[in-house]
Amino acid sequence: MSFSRFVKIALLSIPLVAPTVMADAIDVETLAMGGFWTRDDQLRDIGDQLLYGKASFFDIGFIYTPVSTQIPLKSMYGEHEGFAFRHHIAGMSSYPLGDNSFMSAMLWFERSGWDGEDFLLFPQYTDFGLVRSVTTWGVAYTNADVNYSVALGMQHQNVEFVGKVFPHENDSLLYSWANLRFGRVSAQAQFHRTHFRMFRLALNLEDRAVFGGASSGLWTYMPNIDATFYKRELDGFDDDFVRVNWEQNLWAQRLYAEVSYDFPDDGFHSAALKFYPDPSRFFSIEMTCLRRRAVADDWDDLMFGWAVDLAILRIGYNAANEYDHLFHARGTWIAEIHFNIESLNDMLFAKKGRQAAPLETQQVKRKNTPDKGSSTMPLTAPAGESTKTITAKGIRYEKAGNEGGK
Amino acid sequence: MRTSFKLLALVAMLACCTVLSGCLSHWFTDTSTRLQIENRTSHVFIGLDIISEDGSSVIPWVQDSLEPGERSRVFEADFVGTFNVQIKYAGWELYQYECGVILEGAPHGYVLAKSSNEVVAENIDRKRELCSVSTADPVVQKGDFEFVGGSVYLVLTENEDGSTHLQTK
Repeated sequence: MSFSRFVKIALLSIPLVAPTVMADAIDVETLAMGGFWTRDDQLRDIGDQLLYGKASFFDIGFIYTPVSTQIPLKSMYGEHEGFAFRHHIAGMSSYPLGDNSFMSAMLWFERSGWDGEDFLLFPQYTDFGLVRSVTTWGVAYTNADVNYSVALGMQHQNVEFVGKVFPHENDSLLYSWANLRFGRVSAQAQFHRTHFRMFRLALNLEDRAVFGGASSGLWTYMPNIDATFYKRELDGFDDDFVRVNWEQNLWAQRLYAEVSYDFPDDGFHSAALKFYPDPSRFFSIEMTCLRRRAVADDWDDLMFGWAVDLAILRIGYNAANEYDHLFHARGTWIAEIHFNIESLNDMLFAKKGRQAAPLETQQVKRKNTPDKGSSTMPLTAPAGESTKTITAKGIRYEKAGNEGGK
Repeated sequence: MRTSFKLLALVAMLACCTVLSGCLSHWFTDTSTRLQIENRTSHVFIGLDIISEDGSSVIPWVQDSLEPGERSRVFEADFVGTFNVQIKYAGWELYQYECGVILEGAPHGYVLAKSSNEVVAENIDRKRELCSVSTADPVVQKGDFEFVGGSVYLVLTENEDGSTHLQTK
């Protein structure tokens, strides 16, 4: 390593610690598969949002990896230095149609991949980069009286640029999706043209205060379970599988356990223990365990990681979410600068929040502070006495007969 | 007032990080390598390629032909990182000694000899059985090399045993 290179790396490493530059490379096959998981992630998010029915939601964020050696790309030619990126923006807006019916419009957008330079809007498109965007949009009708939602929409995957080392893929994929919710039971399906691709059944049995349910008690300890059937092809062969997620409140909607399991062959996928200091979910700390396996090589191990979410900044190290959604990036600190907020009636909370953020209910009370606006005070005197007006500053007036002094 | 100013400063700093994230790294890192090669071996250099691990795919990079002592033009490519490199020389040729017996004096298992029987005779103690070898193909050396991006000047030098190696300068 030349001296100038050392200086470059050292300068850029200041904000992060040493393991950052020693990360494992991501491989081209995983990167090429990224679109599959992005599409699923967006539909899963939409399914979650439609539970809230008439809510409005906004979410923006991007992964920030400052060093080009942090997430290199492993191709058949060697290891390329550059940046894995994932930018997203999402929004849902709801309008009342009548007394109890609402119309929602939603748009989810993500641009992800790998490129030689990091960027916000204009990629470099280096020879070995891959820039892909996924857009999901739709409209929903919610009836709050009967408590059901119907949503329909489309999903586009566009490949802006594919480098020389990636498997060939279609440059444009168009999917359609539908989501039907009745109470706390949702069903979701996705199609590519007329071909069925995915079906998800979700039971969100946990009671949430933001729905008008309880904020404590037995019903808040009910499980949230979803099972997704994925129609997938690998190397021209059918590789269908079912993933089951179980989310369980362990303590006061602040501590949750999550388990993810793949049927029929793959078995345990991941588990997580998540702590939300407040049920509005603006902040969280999570510890995760993810099973990594390569069937062909007969290789299997467990990866432990953690992440901290501080409302606008998420930092993770080997966390399952980053591994799953950032092309199996591991062995490095990954920072995501993001923000999401949801409003329902007069409540504000973060994505999948269970209760309104406490800032909504706090009332600031002044104690023992004179009210400056009423320094001139007309006094109603008892019968027989004339009405007096006293103008005073800093003097407390006590009316005769009252227990004053408060 | 003071608190809001601090908050504003924090937001501004964050905004700078956010907006400049696409630019900051460009001040320090290069996304392509501009490569120039000087040939200090006694052989004629005919090319440098990036080759896949299994050898099935080759991306030509430097395609100048260099006599000993010459230097190439500058070739730019998007290779920053560590790659499998192959360097081709024309100064040697593969030599088929006789079917079944072949010399193995060159680096990395390639069967090399200068086209004179004397050289062949000197190395004959390292012979082994091998039947299918074509003649007069370029001599190829392979290995991993780290390209750091920006301008890279590589010097090809020759070891005492006749093999060559790459050196940055």
